[in-house]
Amino acid sequence: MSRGRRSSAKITLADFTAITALASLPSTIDTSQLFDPAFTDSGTSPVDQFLLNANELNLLYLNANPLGRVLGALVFLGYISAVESYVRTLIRRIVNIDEVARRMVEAKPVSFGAAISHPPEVLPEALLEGFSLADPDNVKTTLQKLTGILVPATFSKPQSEFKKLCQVRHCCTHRFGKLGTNNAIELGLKQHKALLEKPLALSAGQLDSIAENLRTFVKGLNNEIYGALLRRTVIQTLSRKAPSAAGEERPAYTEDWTWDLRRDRRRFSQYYSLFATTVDAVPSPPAAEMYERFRVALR
Amino acid sequence: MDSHSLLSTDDLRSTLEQRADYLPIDEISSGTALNDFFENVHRALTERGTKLVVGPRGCGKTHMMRYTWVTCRDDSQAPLCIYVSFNRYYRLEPLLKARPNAIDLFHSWVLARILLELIATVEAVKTNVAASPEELVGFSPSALIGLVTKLERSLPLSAAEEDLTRELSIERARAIIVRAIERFQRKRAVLLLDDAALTLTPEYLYEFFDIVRSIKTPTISPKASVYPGTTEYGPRFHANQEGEIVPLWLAVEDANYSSAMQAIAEKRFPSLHTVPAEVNDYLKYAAFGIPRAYLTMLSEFSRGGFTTTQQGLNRIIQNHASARIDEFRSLAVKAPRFATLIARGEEVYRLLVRDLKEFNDTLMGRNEKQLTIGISGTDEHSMVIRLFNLLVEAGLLYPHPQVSHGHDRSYLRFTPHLSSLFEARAFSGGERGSSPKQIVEILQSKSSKHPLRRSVASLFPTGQLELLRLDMPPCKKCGYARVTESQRFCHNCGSELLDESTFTKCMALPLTAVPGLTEWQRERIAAELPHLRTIGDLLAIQDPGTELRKIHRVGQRRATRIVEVTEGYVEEFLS
Repeated sequence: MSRGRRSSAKITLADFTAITALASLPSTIDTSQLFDPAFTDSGTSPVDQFLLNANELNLLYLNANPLGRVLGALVFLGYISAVESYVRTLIRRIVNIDEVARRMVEAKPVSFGAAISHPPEVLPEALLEGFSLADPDNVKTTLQKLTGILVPATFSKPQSEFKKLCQVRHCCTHRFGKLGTNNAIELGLKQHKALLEKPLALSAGQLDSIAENLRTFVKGLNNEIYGALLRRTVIQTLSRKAPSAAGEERPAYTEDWTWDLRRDRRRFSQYYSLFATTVDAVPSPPAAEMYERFRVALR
Repeated sequence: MDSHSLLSTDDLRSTLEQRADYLPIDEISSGTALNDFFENVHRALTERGTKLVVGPRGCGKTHMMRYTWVTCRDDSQAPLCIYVSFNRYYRLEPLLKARPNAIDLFHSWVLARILLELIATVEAVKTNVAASPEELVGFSPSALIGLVTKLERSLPLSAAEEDLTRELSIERARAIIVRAIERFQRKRAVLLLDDAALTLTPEYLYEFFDIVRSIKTPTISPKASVYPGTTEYGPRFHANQEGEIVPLWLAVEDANYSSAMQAIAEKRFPSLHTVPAEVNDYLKYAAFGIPRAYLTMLSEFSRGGFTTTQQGLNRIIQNHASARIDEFRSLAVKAPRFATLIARGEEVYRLLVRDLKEFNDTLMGRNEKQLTIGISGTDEHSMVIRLFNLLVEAGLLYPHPQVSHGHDRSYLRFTPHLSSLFEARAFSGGERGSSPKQIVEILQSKSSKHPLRRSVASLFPTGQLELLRLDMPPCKKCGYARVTESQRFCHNCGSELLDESTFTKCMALPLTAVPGLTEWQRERIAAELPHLRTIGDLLAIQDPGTELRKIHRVGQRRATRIVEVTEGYVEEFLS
């Protein structure tokens, strides 16, 4: 017996770690070739950028029949990423046009690399390094820290919807869609405990609802911040000298509205074009009409 | 959009005159005729439990509710009645397209309106109980008014108003009502929630009926007025389980029909004695159970302007019948998704009228008539049911309770509007004369044993059923047609399938197209106030009357009239 076993043993030289077969690295990736240098978004409002991205994502799944589990999760991830990108672009551009926001970030540090290489209009982007915006609480605190805008409490419902979806996002980013323990705890263990380690399986209808909720979150946030900013330009001016409750000096606008469109046009259109949409199925009313509404409401 | 087709000038003006919300409360109190039918409705409005008062426009819903309010106000044994109209709900419709929390804002608006009317009731109740509204309600009336006004004008809320919306809860409203019951030593309270059909905004309708369901307690009984034909009140409110349906549309075949209508005219139409009895009876039937229509036709007849009675009546009937059809068509302007169902619905309606006329021709000389047509085979065709519901909502078809003749043989039974049957000379065939008197006699004869019957298959020839659909607009961005009704994004360009608000569309209609305005008024507005181009331009002004008085020869009265007519038109458009 023992002799026979010895004689059948083969001697091989193969690598004992080669449990899978692979292609050796075909090439190294030059990341500088991966991005589109010709792209510019300066003429597009953040909400329009979001909508264009979201519409592209829609086309990926709307005509996929049946909608596969993986495609569903990827589209969903794309949507959350589009929301995050919206918030970043918006904050950066608020800092660029709004006097008070600009003064609030004056003392904030940015990396030396950013300071010497970014053109001025992109520099505020560097302020957002280190902030994750895929969570409504982070969105709220970041907005407050960098622009001084408070998201009103009435916006809590869209925020809590967004929060739930951000938990689901974690599953897609880190676990290929499977529900993890912490996510289940955040989402409500009672309803989710039977689903631990089960994968996200979105139907087209569920993805429709998610897409709609995220659009409502973005457009609602867009309206809220637009309103809050404009309100601030009226209330928080040097001429009104309204110190905060704590008594500390808050930055104020040096410019006042004249309530005459001809003279306010330049300033108003900066805010208008930052928040208006031309891409959506129902586009924003014209600037003159929105100015009139603003004048009637806040004068 | 041809807004002229919605309502004719005369129609609008006389409609406004007969609307119960335009009548002073004293006239309601003294001008209400109660026979058994209306007495039952009145009782349903005061007794315990949730009730849905159902009837088409003009059947007396507002009138009965305001009457109930005024009688309970003066009777310390009656429940504490709070009358609230929600006819301005459409002013909140734009919020649905602008604020993610529109439903919450609507919720606050409903509760704020209830509390404001509670305050008004408390102030109107004759009692020696001293109670400041503020202390009783716990909210400042001016803060509540401010909130309601801002929401109705789509203005942003202040921080204090936002706090107020959070403090307004159903629990709080219930507690306040209970406190008012105790303070006024009434046994319980009734909420008369008028104009609760909210036809343009199903989102609000569902929320509204959720409030109705939740605010009810053994001592608080909500009553809501709605249109017939509505079957869906949201996922949490099932009309038959949560409440009782109280029809307020008197059937022309009811034994007391003639006397009930007579009593109304005696109270509300002072020159009734000048109208010949047979004309009066004829108009009663032509009104098809709608007191407002009856009173309007009586006053038209009294105005004269015709050579023979027959000619006058023909004209009144024709005008009335075509106004009803116009009103039905106007639903398609307000809710374009029903355009196909409405166009096809009109054809089906004309078919039913024609068939009934032919059937009644065969009954000639037998002292019988038939007003009802039974339709079988509707069960599996939801679009057909929807089509009939639209005809019912517009008051063109009176729905009889459904009967079942055994398995698979259930019928929907309807009576078409009698003015259409009169117009088609349904009771004047052959040698039977067509004097009003003879027609009334035929109407009062007994009905033939079985109704006329038609099946869905016979009403909708092959291929027609498949064409019944909701008209969902194509994608506004790329014009691509929708694939399904429930679709939310365009399959071609990925855009969201959004639509402008109906209120916004109404506000964008040119002011000169408001049918109630005179030629002169239209011209002067266009010439002297060119910045007032649309209805919205006028109504957006804080004090539109003052603006209008800038026109030469427009004084207080004319200015008020123009504003009233415009607002009346908007209300008719959006109700």
